[in-house]
Amino acid sequence: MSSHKKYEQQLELLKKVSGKLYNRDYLLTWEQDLDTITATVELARLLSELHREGKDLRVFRSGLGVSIFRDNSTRTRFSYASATNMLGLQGMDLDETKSQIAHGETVRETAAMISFLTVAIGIRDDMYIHEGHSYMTEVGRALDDAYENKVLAQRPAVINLQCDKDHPTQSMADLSHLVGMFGGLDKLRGKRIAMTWAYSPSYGKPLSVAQGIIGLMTRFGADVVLAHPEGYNVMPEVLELSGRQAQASGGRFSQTHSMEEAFRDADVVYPKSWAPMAVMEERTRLLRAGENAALKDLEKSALAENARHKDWECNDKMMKLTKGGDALYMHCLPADISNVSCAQGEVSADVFEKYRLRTYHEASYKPFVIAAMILLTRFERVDHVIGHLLEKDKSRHVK
Amino acid sequence: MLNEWVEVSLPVTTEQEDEVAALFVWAGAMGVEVRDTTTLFAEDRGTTRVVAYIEQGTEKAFLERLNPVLAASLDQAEEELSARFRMVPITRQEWNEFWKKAFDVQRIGHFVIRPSWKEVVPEPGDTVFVIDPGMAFGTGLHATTRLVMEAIEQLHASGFRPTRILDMGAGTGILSMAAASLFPEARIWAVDNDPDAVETAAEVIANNGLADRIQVDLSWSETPVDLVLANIQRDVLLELNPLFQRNLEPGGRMVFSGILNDQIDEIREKTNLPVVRGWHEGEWELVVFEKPATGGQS
Repeated sequence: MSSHKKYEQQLELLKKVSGKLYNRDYLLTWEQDLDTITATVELARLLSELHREGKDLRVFRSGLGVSIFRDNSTRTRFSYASATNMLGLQGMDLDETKSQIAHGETVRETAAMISFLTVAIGIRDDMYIHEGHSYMTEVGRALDDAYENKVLAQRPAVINLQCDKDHPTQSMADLSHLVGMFGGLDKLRGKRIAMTWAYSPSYGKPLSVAQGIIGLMTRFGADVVLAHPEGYNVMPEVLELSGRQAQASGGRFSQTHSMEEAFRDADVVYPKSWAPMAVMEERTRLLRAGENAALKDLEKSALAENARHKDWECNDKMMKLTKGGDALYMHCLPADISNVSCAQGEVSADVFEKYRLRTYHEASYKPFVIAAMILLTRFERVDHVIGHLLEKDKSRHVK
Repeated sequence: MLNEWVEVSLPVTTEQEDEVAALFVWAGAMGVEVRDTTTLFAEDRGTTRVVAYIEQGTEKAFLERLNPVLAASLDQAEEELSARFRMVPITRQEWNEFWKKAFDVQRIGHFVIRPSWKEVVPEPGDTVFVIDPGMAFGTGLHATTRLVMEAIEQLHASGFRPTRILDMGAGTGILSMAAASLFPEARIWAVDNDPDAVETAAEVIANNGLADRIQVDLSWSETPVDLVLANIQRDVLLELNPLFQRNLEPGGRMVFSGILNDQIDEIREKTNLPVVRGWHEGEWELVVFEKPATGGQS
């Protein structure tokens, strides 16, 4: 079978979304229509497959893939570097502390100055709540301005590598994994997906993984449950849109304060710690004000509050409540594993070990999701680009 | 000695609780309560206990009257049943302290409910209501009430701003008060068909300085609203559903609570409006419907 024939369905899907994202940014999954989401997942899975087959997937002969990490990152940093490299871009990290930004250069100016030969700008900004997404849209507007005024020959795409609202490269990697595990997006209909808070001995974990999951998984007819102890609220706007999406997709979205209830009969569990929105807001205020002593106090009280919920651990007893006692465990990694990475954490060692390799597979989609996002934002006809790659059928290794 | 009490209790299954409670009253109990994991005096998970309060000295007569009928009703041997009773004497002083301790300050989100004898220092953003148990507040907030309070707090947080609110089955009026504090522009009708509830609600609402915001009544003359709060039960919700929908403005929302897990599908189906939110706690479900801003499914 020719490659074209083999991937006919994916190419058709890509054709359908032609130009939709061209010269735009990939910031929040809920800004994208369902066809675009489906195309992104299918393209990521296709790229992963072609990469596994040893194909050369370079579609750019030059250009920068700039990254700006305003918070720590391992998986996403390497995924972004891998994705840009795979597509033929030169990776370039902007260290704000070593740039003119520290000397008062404006976002508008920086965005243009780093973009003369830039194809994509990946940004992680999840440290300050209510600011990360705004920052990314500000960069996007500056790029529009520079492009429309012919300062830039091309309009680089901003790729959200996690903001205060969403973590689309994570949630889309998770979705790609689910498609692989269950055999298709349509198979998610009716599946019970439990996004639950879990105890962690650290504080200040962003809300955007939980928000990203409920904001994405409610679009496919699934029965999505969000569980957390009282007070660990996520952003109301994301709850609101999750409810609407679930309704529109024929699925459900509900909330509870019980981990057991969420786990009961679940097909998928995603136990992951996050900080209450109110704590993140206070943390943002104190970080901005440089009030280090107050920050320490906040950390102390937040940790004490966390410690009241040590029973929110994904362990064998919890897993037994799930469908057939065998739900798919998911995590964005790194997980706080009890008796391994901490005394007590989000997941017991035996449960994590059982699913460890599957969480690695889950994470392995991220470079391809990022690459898919770059392709969809930088080419009008991604079906032609992929068609060309299939035709060329070039190996990336010397044979 | 007069007015010394004994707490007599029996562990039961959830199917048995109503029947046992009724027989406790029939046999002469001065007060009966059902305790489980959700009540203020909580039982362990999986245990439900029916508790009767009877005057000291009358417990023997109480059990003699109760036991044969209860044994027959539950289809159990009398001796076996006798062995399962728990008797705990309570002195008068203990009784007073017991209740005061029981009615501690309760917090749901930013709402704090305190008895009049207990002061609290509110945190920023808190709204404090004063409700005493004598005002028919039962043993703490029921799960279904807590769910509604969380739901309206979330509706508020998401930017929803109703101007006319109906609280049907208002009980003590706590939901109306919560709505009044969150939506200062809104006019509120607190309606209950139980005259005692209406009297209590009016008193509680007046004590909390909200009488000019909330109209308490036994009945409701239909008028357009954009938020319906109905913490009732399945049958009544379904019966009143057409009335609610008839008066709900496009874009308005209905919060239904008091629904058991196994009733939620039927409620969703028969209500036939888009669901924008769901909550559950134990056996209880809450659902938020929205009337589409244009057109409508009903």
